[in-house]
Amino acid sequence: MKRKKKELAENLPVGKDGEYSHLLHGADVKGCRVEVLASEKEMAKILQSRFADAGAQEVETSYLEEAPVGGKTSRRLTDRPKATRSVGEIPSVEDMPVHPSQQDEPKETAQAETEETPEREEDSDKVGKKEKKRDFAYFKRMVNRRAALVALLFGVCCALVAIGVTLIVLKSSALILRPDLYFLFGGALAFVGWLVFFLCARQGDKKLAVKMDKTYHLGESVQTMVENAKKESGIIQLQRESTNEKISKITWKKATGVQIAALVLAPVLALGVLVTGLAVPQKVIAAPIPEENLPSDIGKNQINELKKLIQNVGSDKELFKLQAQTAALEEGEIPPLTKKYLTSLNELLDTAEGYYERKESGGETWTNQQRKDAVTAAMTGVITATEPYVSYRKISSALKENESVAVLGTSLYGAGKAYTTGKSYTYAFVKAQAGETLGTAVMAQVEKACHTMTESFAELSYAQYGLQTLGYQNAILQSIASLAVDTEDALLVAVDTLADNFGILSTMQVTEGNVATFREYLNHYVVGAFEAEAAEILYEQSYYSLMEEYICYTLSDVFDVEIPKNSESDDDGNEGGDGNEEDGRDDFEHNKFPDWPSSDLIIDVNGEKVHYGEILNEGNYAKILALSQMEGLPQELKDYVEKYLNEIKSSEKTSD
Amino acid sequence: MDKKENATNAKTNFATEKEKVKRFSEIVTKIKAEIRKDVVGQEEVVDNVVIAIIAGGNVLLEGVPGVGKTRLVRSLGRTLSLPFARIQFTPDLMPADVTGSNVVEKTADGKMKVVFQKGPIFANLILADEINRATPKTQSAMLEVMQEHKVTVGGETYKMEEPFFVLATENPIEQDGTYPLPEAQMDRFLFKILMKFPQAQEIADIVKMTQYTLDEHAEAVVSGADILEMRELSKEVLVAEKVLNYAVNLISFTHPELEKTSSTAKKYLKYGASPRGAQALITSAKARALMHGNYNVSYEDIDALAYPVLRHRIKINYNAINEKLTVDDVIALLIKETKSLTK
Repeated sequence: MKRKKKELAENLPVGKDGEYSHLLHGADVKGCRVEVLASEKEMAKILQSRFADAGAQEVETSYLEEAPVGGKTSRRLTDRPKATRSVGEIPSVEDMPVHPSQQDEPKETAQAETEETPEREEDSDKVGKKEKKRDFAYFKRMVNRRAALVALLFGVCCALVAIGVTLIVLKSSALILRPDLYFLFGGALAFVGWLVFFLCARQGDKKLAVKMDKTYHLGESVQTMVENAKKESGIIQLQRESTNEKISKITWKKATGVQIAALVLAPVLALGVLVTGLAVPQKVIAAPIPEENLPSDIGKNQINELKKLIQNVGSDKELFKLQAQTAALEEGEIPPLTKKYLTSLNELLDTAEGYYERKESGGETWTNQQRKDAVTAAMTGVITATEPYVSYRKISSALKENESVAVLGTSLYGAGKAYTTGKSYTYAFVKAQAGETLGTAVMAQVEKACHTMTESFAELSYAQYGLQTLGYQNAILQSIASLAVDTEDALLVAVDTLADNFGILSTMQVTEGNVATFREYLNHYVVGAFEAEAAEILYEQSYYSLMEEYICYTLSDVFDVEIPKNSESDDDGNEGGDGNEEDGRDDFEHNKFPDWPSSDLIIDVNGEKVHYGEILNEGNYAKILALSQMEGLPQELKDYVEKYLNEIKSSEKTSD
Repeated sequence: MDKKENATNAKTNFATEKEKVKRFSEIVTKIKAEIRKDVVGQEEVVDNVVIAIIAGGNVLLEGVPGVGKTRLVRSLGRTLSLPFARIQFTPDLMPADVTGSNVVEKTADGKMKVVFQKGPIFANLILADEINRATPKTQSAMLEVMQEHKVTVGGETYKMEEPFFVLATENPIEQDGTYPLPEAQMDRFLFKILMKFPQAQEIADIVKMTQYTLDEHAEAVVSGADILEMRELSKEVLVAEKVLNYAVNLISFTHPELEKTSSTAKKYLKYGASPRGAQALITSAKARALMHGNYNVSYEDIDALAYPVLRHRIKINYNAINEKLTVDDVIALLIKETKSLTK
């Protein structure tokens, strides 16, 4: 520094007599107050001493100083005191001699000075004011700026914490919020937080003054200054000046460790909460599993029951015998219907066993839907296989459409469902139906129809006989005209034959003389023949129907699956007065058979517990009645049994 | 135009005030320097006495004999170039001896006329030595002058020349046969200053200084007009609202009977200072502030002057005596409690 000063002093341009005449133009400075504008601080000091030596009473100096502004180097003047007396013209910057230290940057200096010159020439007062005064206002600005920044930091921290907590709460509650709402929410919170913190932290004049006095030990001078800010007096000005001078010397106290820790910890904690919120997994409330997708247990007993069913079906002799009557079977060959039954059942067995084994080895068992599908498929297979063998359903349904032969249709349906008990069928029951039991029940139904048809002539005149028979023929033929039944079907053929026979009989001119012959033909060759033929066919079809129902109901009971509705075969099978569409199984419950007086259980002939009324179905009723009329029994007993059965049959149900 | 004129006036006032303050500092420095020529140590006493002079109040000096009370006042008188009078109070001193009285005088032409003979009180600076030895009647006469700066004798009122300043002394020992000043009268003193026994080094300095001569060397450096000007200037010193409230609270908290008071007062004081104490506190604090180069009163000024202002205005009770607490100890507790309650 000293060397530089010496250099400056040596390189100062001098005028005549050692005076700086080129600067002052020979002005006498003795006793004057001199203002000096120098390019450097050091030069200003030197000039100050030189002018003081020259006799100036007061020398006030100012100098250009480097001041980075916006990254560029520019020059600005320090406080330039107001001149109280002009001491001479100070040359412009261009005319001033270039200092050696400035020779390397002539352009910059000239440019900077040129930029500065207009300002300097115009209003020198404004230059001094540009410099920032470290006064109360400055500190107030600094404090409030700092408060704003800290408030912003805490506001953002609050927003982050709020978002983090919201994320944790919503995710734990399996709720989801749109991401843009988080930003909106966070932004709003940050603003509100900033506002709140800023308003709390912001300091008014008085508050700041008190704080400054206390912190920097200023003897309550700042408070006093602030209180008297709007007043003016000599002492107030002095006090203000003195206070500002004290303030300008303040070394701003650095933040305490606690404050720094708070400024560091707050964002760290806030980020921690936010990250936690982001990391918390989204809880998802699983939609309830549809029932069909729920697992369904499969037990060994079900497998065993199915196997038992397969065995029963496969070994059913009656089924075998009936099929053998119509199809030529080779030694050991399984009849076609049985084969179809077994195929469906074995497929189900394979499926069930597969799932059972999987379950046993820790795998998944079948679902409800899978169970239903498998069992329904088996049932459908059975029903589909049986359909061609139970043409009575379609034929009876068609006949029932025509009033003339409705009774025939009803009877045919009744014959096909002659086994109906109103509950599930056990194999023991199925076996018990084989032969006479079912045959008798079937015959009773057929006889009923035939009897009704023959009796319908009783009230007609002879002349109407022909019409009646023709009517029967036409009615039957119309009903079976476009049935979807195999034309070779035995029952269809029998019904068709019946119609033909009615037709032949209708050609007979009935008189009193040949009415007996007519009746004979009617009873024996027309209705009688049909009766005998239909009974046999219907027995067979009834057994097939029974087997179908046995299989389906067994599967339904074992696997708890509803039997699929067979709309064709199950159409109006009952003769219920309310036109109920349910199958014959329900006929028992829906007016076909009378309601029995109680639902007490008794042991039936097969050793099973059955409802009392179920024993007295038409089949059993007919059988019992038939037995009671056997030869050898006293007539009185016969009458008593018949009367007893009729009374039971005609009783109304009095309780469940 | 008005603005410019106001600005010019403000500048002028500013410059004038600055000059006044500069002169104030110079005078105070000079006074202290001159007094130091004759009085060794007792810095705080000298400061407080100067403050009292500037504030325009009277001082009660208490100290054992020989600590320099009289010398201090005399030096002060010389420094201030003010007419100085010393009144030694004795039990037989009459009021007329203090104030003066009417006497009958023969004129040159042989006629008799009544002439008022001024008493020693007619000076600017009075030293009332051992004021507690005088009778209450004489004390009253003295205190009346102190309060009102005038004397009424024979129906005529005589005003004291300003600045008028009384420094009374009291001997804390030898209380037998004395008439302690009543509290109401004590309130008229701005300060009660204790002149403590000097330290060993100070005694040594005193001995060295007075070995060969007891002459006083203080010279006149300030006039009465200067004192008055200083007094006016000190009145302009600013007081912040909080500082004023602090001073007021300090006075209020000396009253044990008040609802909102300090626990110290309730425990240790019999009675507290009057509003005159608050006036004294602020007035003297202004002077002190200016003396220290400040243009506003601070808490420090109040705290420092609380002792001389309050010690003669409050009365400690038996609890304080029992706990061996002095008045100054209680004042210290009051200051601490007031700070915690009000700042």
